[in-house]
Amino acid sequence: MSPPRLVVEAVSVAFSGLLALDAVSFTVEPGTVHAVIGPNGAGKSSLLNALCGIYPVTGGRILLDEHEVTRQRPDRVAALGVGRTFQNIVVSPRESVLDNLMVGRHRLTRAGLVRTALWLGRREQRRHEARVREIAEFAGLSARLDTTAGRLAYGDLKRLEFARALCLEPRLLILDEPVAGMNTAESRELGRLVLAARDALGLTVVFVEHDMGVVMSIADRITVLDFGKVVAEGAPAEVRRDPTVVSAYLGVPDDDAPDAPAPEDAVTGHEAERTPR
Amino acid sequence: MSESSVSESTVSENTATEDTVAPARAATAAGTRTRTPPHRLPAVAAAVAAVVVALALPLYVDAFWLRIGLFAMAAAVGALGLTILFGAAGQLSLGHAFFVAVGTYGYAFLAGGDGGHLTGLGLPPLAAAVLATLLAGLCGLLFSPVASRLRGIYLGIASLGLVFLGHHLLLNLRPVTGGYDGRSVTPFALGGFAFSDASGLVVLGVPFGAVENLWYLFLAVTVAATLVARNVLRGRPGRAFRLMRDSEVGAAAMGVRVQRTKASAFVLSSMYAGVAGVLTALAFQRAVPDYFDLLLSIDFLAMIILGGLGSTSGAIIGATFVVALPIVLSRYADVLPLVVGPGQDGLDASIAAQFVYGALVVVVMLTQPGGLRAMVHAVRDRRGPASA
Repeated sequence: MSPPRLVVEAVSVAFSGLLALDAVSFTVEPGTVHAVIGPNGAGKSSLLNALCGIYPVTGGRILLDEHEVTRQRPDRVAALGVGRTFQNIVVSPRESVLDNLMVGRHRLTRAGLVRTALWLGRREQRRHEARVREIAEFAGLSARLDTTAGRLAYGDLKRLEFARALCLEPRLLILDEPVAGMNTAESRELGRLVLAARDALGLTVVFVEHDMGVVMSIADRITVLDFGKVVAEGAPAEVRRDPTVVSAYLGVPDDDAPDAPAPEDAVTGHEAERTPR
Repeated sequence: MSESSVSESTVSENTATEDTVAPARAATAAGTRTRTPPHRLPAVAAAVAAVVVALALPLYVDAFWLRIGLFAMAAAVGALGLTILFGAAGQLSLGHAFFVAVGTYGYAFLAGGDGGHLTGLGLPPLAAAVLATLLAGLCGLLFSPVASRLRGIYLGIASLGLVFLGHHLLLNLRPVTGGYDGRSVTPFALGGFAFSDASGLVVLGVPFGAVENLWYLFLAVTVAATLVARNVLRGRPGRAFRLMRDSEVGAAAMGVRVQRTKASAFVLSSMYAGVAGVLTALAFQRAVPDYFDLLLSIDFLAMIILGGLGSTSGAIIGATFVVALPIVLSRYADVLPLVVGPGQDGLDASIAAQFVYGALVVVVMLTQPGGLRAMVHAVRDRRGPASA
């Protein structure tokens, strides 16, 4: 299956009067990696939750190829092939890594209560477990499969969530701050994994991230949100030079001439966390 | 469709330049995984040993202990249902006693005959037992609109009402329930063999009465209920239950239909309670309303907490402990300090037992929230890191 196109058309999300997203529009072309950046509270996570059907969309619409995703239940959205990770890690801490990954196969498997009770789900389970082990190998979790998830190091937990999203065999992969809290080497490795998964599985990727190094190195396009509105969109190089973005988010010191070529350290991105708001 | 997506688009194949040999390693790993993994062997051996001992017990142990066993097995089946619902799916129910009552009275009514002011359908006992279980499941289904919309402790509070409703019905639906005095229960029979003192069976010189016969019936039901619970908990539904318990949003994002899954956990747990009710009816040989009060629901909760939430073996051990403790304390009341037998002045054995396991629940929650199961795991981890 070819990767899908995601079209977000004038999407608004309001919580009792508070407008979290205000007519946000952008298009993610098939097979591209699309980053959504913006200061804290800009509506990035709200946007991802709206894409997944977790937050109710109050205006506009979301299309995944020809499927209308707007106002669908989250499990229906998952059934369309949308896999995601969460900003605050969501796993079953007392279950093994393998079990946590196997949950990702839920939409692809069929064994219900009766079949499972009568030992009829085991063949299906074995077959899917073999595939899950491949994905774990890919994500570097092979040695951890029997470990209780709660005992994993932070970076491994992030990779567990990433691997579990892949276990859905998604077409659209949504990542909410996939490298937050990781060190530079771990971040770079996860960025590489995202690109490798995109190429190998034919995915379209949407992600939110504060780490500008990762954003600039893996994103094909960037949408910048501020106060729930799109303030800029373009290729990384364009966005990096956009004066609105610079003042709203990147926070380059005033004495830096805006038309000067971006210094290399803006790309490694460790001072990108400074948000001068 | 699901099948093709497994074989197609293998991640590791396409990225083989960077992550080599993945398919081969994965294949061998999957191959060794199909049999019981070595670290589970002691648990399997323990389970088999327990069943063998249980099979031989009626030949060596007198009826007093066997009767405790019957009550313990009846409770264990109920506790299995609650550990699926609360331990795995995170949905607290304080209405478990209601569904047990449905099983007990359902069986008494369906298998019982007309007599005096009581009515009954006079069905064959096996049919009555199965229908009583389905009836409890149906009651769970009727409550599932509530069960699927509430979460955790809120469901516990909502389900509390069921116990009072049930108690009211038991006292007032006299033609079915017999009111305050309850009604007697038709003994179980299967294919002409009566599970009563009249069976006339003698095994190795031991005459088999009702208790011995029922022991084997209960054992078969308990083993079957345990295996079903283990399959469910280890399989696809159990994994969905546990992620739902830990995060409903996370489960939904994995494609789990949260409301339906909550409802199915509730219905399954109700059916377990129904089976427990049928077994309770057979063990008591009488159905009385006062047994099915809130305290019974709390007892079930204590059983699964003591044993370790979500664990099948824990539910059985917890049930045995909670059931046996008051009976054993009362039997040995004259030799034990503080405790007195029924009808005497002082600390009644059943009250003392409640103190003991109440205190134990507190201790377990504070020191070992995973219960007995986690304790066993902790010991195993300390002993053998080499196996990992």
